[in-house]
Amino acid sequence: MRSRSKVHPDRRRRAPRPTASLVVALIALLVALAGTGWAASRLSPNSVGTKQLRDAAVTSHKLARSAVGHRQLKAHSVGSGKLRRAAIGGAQVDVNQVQTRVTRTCSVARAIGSVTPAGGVDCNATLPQAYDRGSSTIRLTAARQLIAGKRLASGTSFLLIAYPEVTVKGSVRGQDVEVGCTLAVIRGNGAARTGTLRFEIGHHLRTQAATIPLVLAVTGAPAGSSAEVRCGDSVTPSTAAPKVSIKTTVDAIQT
Amino acid sequence: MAVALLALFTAFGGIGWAATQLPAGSVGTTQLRNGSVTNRKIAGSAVSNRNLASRSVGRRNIRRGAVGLFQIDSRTVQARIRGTCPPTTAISSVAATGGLACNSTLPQEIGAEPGAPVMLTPGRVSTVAAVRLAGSSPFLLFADPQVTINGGAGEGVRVDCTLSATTTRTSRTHNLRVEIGQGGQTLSGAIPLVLAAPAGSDLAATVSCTDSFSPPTAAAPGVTVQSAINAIQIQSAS
Repeated sequence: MRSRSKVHPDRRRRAPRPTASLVVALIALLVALAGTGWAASRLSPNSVGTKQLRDAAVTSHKLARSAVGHRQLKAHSVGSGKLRRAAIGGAQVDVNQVQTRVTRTCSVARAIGSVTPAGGVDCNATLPQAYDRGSSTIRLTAARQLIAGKRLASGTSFLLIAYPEVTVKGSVRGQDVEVGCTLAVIRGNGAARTGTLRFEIGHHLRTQAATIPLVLAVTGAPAGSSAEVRCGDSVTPSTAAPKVSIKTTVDAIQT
Repeated sequence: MAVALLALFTAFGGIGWAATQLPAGSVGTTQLRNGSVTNRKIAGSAVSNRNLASRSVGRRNIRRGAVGLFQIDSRTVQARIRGTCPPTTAISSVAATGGLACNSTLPQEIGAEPGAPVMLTPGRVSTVAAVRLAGSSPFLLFADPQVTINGGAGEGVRVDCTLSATTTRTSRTHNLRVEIGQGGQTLSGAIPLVLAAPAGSDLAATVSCTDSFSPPTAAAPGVTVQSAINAIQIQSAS
C-alpha cells in the first residue's frame, strides 16, 4: 500500500513555478522604477514655472551670458553703486547733453569763448583792439573843416584820442589867432570834446606850432558812426588871414 | 501578490519622489516657462557684467543722479566745473577735476616815469626817454614831452619830438614852435604823442627830440625836455 502523504524530499525543495500574475507584477515593478527615473530626468517643456522655482534659486551661474537685456532691467534699477568706477566715458555720454573733457587751453591774453562738444575751446582775445590814424597836413580854409576821421566798429566802446598839431604863420604883428578843434562821434549820441589854442603873432612873424590834446570816451558806437576831428580858426583883427595848417592823429582803443 | 503590491507602491512612491526631488541640472531652458524667472527668483547680485547683454542699460534703467564723479572716466568726461574766475580775469583752461585756470583780461601797462630834463643841442637828436616793452604784443604808446625854452627876444624856436617803436620802424613826430617875446620870457609847452606799435620782438619805445632856431645868427636857446612813456598792451594795431 502506497502512502499519499509521503512527499519526495527533492520535490519539496524545488521553487514554485512563476505564475502569470507574478510575471506581470515584476514587469510593473521594472516599469515603475525606470519610469520614475525617466520622469525625474526628463521634464516636459515649460513644465517649470515661477511656482516651481524657489526664491533666489537663479544664481549668476544659472543666467546665460547676455541673458539680461534692456527689457529685463527694471526702470531706475541701476544706481550709482551698480556702476563700475570710470564706467561712464566719452563713448557712453550723449555729447550734445554732457560735456566731454575740456582739454584745450587758451594762451596768455586770450580766454575761452566757447567749448565744443569734443572738448575743444575757442579762444577770444582779452586785449583791446586799437586803431591808429594819422592825417596829412591840411590848410584851414573854412570856418570848420574836417581834418581826420576814423570809422568805428558798430556796438563797440572806445576811448578816442586825438592830438591835432596846429601851425600858424601870421603876417600881422600882434594879431590874435584862435584855433579850436573838436573830437566828436558822427551819428553818435552827440558826445564831443573841444580844445582851443591861442597864438599872438610875434614881432618877427615867426611860425608857431602847438598841439591840442583831446580825449573822448564813446560807449557802444552806433552803426555807421565814425570819429572825426574838425578844426576852425578865428582871427582878431581880421585884416589879413594867417596861414593855419593842422595835422592830427586819431587813435581809438577798445574799452 | 506581495510583489505586485510592492510594484504598485514603488510606482506611486517613485512618481511622488520624482515630483519633488529633481536631479541637479535637470531644469534647462526648455523646461523653464517664459517669464517664470521673476525678480524674487533671482539671487542677490546674481546679475553680473557677464549676464548683461551689450547696450542693455538704457536711460530709463539708470537711477537719477547715479552717475557721479566716481562713475565717470574723468579723462574723457568733464567733471562739474567749479570755481569762478575773479573780476578782470577769464577762463583759460579747465582741469579734469573741474578746477579753473584764469587769464587776466586787462591789458598790461608798461611805463617809464619822466627822467631828469634833457638839454637839447640844436640840430642833434637826443633821447629823452626809453622803455623796453616785454613780450611780443602790440602796444598803444603815449608820450608827453614837456618842453621849456629859454631864448633871446624875438627868437624863433622849434622843437620836434618823435615817439618811435624800435624794430617795427613806426614813429610819430609833432613839434612845438614859438617866438620868444620881447621880454625874453621862458616859454613852455607840451608835445603830446600817441602811436600804435605793432608786435615785434625786442620791442622798445623811445622819445627823441631835436631843436632848431632862427635867425641862425642868434644865440642858441636853452631847450630842455622831459617825458614819460606809457604803453598799454593791445590786441592788434590797425
